[in-house]
Amino acid sequence: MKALSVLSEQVGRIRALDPYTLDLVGREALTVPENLATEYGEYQSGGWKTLSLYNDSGDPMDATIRDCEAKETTLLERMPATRELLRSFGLRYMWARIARLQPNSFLWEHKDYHELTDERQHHRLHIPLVTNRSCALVTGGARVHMAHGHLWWLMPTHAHGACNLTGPDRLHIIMDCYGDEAFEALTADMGLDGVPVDLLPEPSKKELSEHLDLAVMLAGMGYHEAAEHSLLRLFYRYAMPDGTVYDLIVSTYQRLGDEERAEAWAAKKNVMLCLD
Amino acid sequence: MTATLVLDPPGAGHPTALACLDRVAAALGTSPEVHALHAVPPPADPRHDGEALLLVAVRGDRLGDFCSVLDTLVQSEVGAVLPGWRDRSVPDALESVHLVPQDDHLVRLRVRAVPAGTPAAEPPAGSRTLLDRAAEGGAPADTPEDDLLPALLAAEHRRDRDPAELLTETLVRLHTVHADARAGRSLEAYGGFTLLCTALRELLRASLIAGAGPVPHAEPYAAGWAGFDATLALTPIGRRCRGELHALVAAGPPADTPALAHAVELVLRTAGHAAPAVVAGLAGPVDSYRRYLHLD
Ligand SMILES: [Fe+2]
Repeated sequence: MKALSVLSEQVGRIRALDPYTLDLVGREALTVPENLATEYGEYQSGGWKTLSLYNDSGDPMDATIRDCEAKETTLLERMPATRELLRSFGLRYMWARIARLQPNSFLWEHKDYHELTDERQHHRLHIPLVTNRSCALVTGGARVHMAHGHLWWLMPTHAHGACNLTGPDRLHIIMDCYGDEAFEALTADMGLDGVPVDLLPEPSKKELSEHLDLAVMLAGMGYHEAAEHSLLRLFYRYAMPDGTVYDLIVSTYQRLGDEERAEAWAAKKNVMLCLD
Repeated sequence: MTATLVLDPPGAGHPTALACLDRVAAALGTSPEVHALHAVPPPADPRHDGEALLLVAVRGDRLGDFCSVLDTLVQSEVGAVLPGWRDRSVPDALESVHLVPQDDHLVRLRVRAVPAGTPAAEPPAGSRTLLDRAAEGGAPADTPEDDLLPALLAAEHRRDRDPAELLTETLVRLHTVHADARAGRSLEAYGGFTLLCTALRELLRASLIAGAGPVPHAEPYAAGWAGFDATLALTPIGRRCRGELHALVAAGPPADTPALAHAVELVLRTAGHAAPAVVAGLAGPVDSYRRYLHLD
């Protein structure tokens, strides 16, 4: 099927991980200090916290993505099972981190890696440690639940988003690495066979206009954030051309005559989707 | 993870429910159309552990708009686990129920929307005022002719409820019934259990019986259950639903976690036979519900 073959260039399940190892790693991740660094920013709704395991500086609180030959952080030294697992893949890491995504948290539609300059291929891998069925990755017009028990791959240069809709907390190890022989060997059998994939429906004109009307009503009553969030969340519900949710927010504010907010959201779309 | 709030001893001050209310008030109070917010204290009986009631006084002519956006608002800004549903067993008020996670507990948040400036907007004794624009000099005087409540209530009772809303009501009532049964309040649990079974019955009627419409209020026998065994027995799917429903009724209110897990399974299987798309559409939230209650 065309949709699935396009999708398999954006996300894949690499292989099952040993349940005993995964249990040990999960235990280590659940007992790391509570004060995970919060990454603020335009990319997310809040509720997204990380601690680095591999990076340029070796400081677990340093959470900036940049090309480098990453080294193990002082936190990873205290997590022997996790260190063993990450070493076992034989990958050249650029960054690896523990990421906690709280309930009702979203990484809004965006693209990654465009600021990186190294000519080597970059890849993103996920190890779900704690998850629930409301957690989803949306890319290529499909919703994929990265299930516990497997190692997953993602190409985040396409418009994508992730969410933990209704909780409890989601805990993943997320790794950015370079494409090399070890990566090719690790991912040789990768695919989407047997992975439940929800191909999202395209919205009808009527549905879109109802969502827009609701957002206008919310914003008109003073609930600006709720109006914006209600539209940004549509990315997780419908297959739409890149950036549609941002265009809808712009339309909402235009209908209310709020040019300042409309322009701000048009600019934000460019940042999120690397259009500048 | 910690235990659910319903395990907390009564009289503990319901810190989780209060924290939840503060969060909800911050979200709902953003609109200048909301004139006042009051946290209504739970009645003295401990049934209301894990329950929080917020009285929202809205400018009269915007009450309809507020009710239209409320569920989207609570889902997106507060993060309810399940969509909200309107509790029609509360007379003379537009009261919706939302299951909200708070510090790994589940709180049943009740939001009662009333027109500002009417007697219904007077907070009951002991309420804690979270927002009062009149006291801040920020709200215009309310006029009684703005009162849209009777028309909105009438429209609510005419509205057909869809299977998703009825499934949500069933699961949230199960949460209450379990709290009662575990605490030994068997008769209250039984009362809640009949409401739960009624919601599930209405789901089956809405999904399986073409043009069923609401049960007539004046039905003389068995309050809407008359002839229901025979009605379900007519078709294979109906018979499957009847089997699950019989098992649910035979098991009664769940008093411990394994019994609760079993009841949730029976509810989902019943609903799954009758309205598979609805159950599939709520798979994520239902999984969250299970995990918060430690049923996984
Ligand atoms: Fe991303």
